[in-house]
Amino acid sequence: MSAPLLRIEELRVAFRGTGGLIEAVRGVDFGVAPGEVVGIVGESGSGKSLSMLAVMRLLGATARATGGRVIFDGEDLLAATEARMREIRGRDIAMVFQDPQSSLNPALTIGRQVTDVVRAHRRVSASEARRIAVEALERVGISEAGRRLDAYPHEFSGGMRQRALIAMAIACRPRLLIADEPTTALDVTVQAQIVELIAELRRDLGLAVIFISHNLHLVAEIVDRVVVMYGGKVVEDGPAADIELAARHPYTRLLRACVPSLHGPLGPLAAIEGAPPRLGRMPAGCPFAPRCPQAADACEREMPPLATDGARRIACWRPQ
Amino acid sequence: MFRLLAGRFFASLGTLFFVGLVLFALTRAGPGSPARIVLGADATSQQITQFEHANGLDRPFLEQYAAWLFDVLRGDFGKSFVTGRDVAGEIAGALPVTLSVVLLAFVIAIVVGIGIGSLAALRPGGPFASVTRLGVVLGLSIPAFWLGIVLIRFIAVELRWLPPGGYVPPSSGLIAHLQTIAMPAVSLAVYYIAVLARMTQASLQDALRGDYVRTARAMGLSSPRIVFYALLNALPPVINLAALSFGYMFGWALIIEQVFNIPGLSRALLNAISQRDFLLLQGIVFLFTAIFVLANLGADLVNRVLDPRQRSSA
Repeated sequence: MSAPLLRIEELRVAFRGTGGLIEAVRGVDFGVAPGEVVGIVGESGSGKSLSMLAVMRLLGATARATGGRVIFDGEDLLAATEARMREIRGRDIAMVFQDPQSSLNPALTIGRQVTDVVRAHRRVSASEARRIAVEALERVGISEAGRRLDAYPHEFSGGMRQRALIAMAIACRPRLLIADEPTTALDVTVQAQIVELIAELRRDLGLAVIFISHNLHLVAEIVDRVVVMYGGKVVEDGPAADIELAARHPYTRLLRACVPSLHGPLGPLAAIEGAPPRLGRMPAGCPFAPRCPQAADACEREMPPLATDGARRIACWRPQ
Repeated sequence: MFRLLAGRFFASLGTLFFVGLVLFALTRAGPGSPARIVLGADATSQQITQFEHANGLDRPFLEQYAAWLFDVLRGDFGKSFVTGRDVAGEIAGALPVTLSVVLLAFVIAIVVGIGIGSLAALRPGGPFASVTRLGVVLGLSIPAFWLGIVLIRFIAVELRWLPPGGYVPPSSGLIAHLQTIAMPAVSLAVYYIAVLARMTQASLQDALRGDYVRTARAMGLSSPRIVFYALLNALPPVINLAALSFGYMFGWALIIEQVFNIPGLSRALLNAISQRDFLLLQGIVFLFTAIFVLANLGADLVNRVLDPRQRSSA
């Protein structure tokens, strides 16, 4: 593997609670190579979105990164100034979010929102910015883009809005796109189109992508590597095919079983018993131990380290 | 869009019609006949009947209203019983005075209120937000007339920066004009600065939490631009409130005019009330209603321009 484009080292994120800091991301560690597509999979509250917001330095007032480093292209983003971050956001790393409905400003035209991104990072004329915007919109599959520039978000369908948001994200040709559950709020058919679009952009633009999802199957179709998170930690990490076919962490295996297959016979819907650990009440040992069918005494006592095994890493005392 | 506007316009006319009716009824429900006031205490009942007949006061209520409304629609507000002068002319003479005070107060309230509210929304827990919260409570609790008196006491009497009262029309010098209406306008504006600041703060704070703000930040847009775009979405309730404020200001302006001895509509209105000068009273109150209705219509229009969803839905 070539030198990583993004290297997240021991990242910790905590919320400011009434009783002090509550840690939600507890030492996350992984890298993304240039042009690589990495899927982050986990339940709500596993810390996957929070880690990515920390990478973008968009955590807001209630949470903050309390430890670790985020090295992008040799630069520690956690130590960068806000002005420097503003340069990086949208130009080098862009992020799209879950709900295209509310992620576009309803008062501004699509064209205005795309050209604004262009003009925030490049000194170009208004007409040149428009040309770049049309190109970006066409690239994400919006037909008659020139005419659509003057449309408002409410005149677009959900899938079109997500395309427009992706157009904003790629308008300045960033090297990394972070997509935080970009398909969750969309129809199933549209979901597949957006996934296909992201795969296409990666192919055509050489874009590295971090694709956050709770749907392992969806992610497995386009990613090179899957990072599985649970309880604010990476529990398994490996090539997509390996994880899809032969997951070794009990959590990953159960997560796989939860997504009903579209091809096989329809059995009872699988679910993982119990609930994820609550923030601030993380067990001392493996966070998944209380729900794990394979758990032994050791699991409850001590957190297993993320051990490397060939191309894979796994944090489990009793991997399968 | 055009049809919707036409609908709004006719709804406003309907409002005016009913307000006029209620106003007409209330004016006549009070004790005392204008005839008594005009003719004096020792007028004979025959003289009174004659006066009432001559002025149409003995006709059926609805007939009187219809006749009045018809005249008003043509711009004829009738003649004052007491002075015999044209009501429209009387109002036209005093309205510019009141209007200049209210307009200045309105501009101050909008600029300062929205400005303070926006700054306070930027850092919800910050020191400026706390000071604003206190200031809003203070602004809401200070009576305008009392503030006026305090201003006269300190700025006019002690410091001698501005005249304590009176009015100079803009035609006699803009600076002198502004000097006479500055303190009245500020006294009038303070309450509305507080109201608008509070609304702007709440609305903008809400807008700044929106997903599209996060998107804009994730794309590297500058902070002033992001705040401006959020403000576009935060303004509609503020504009509605501003329109209401504009209407209310005319009511408060009457008291402020008394405090600063300004020859605006308050003098005409108080005279009309004490002298049972029905037509003058109706004319002034009807004018206030029309201003109120128009201000709200204006707010609808501005909001329609700001919100593309409303624009294209009609």
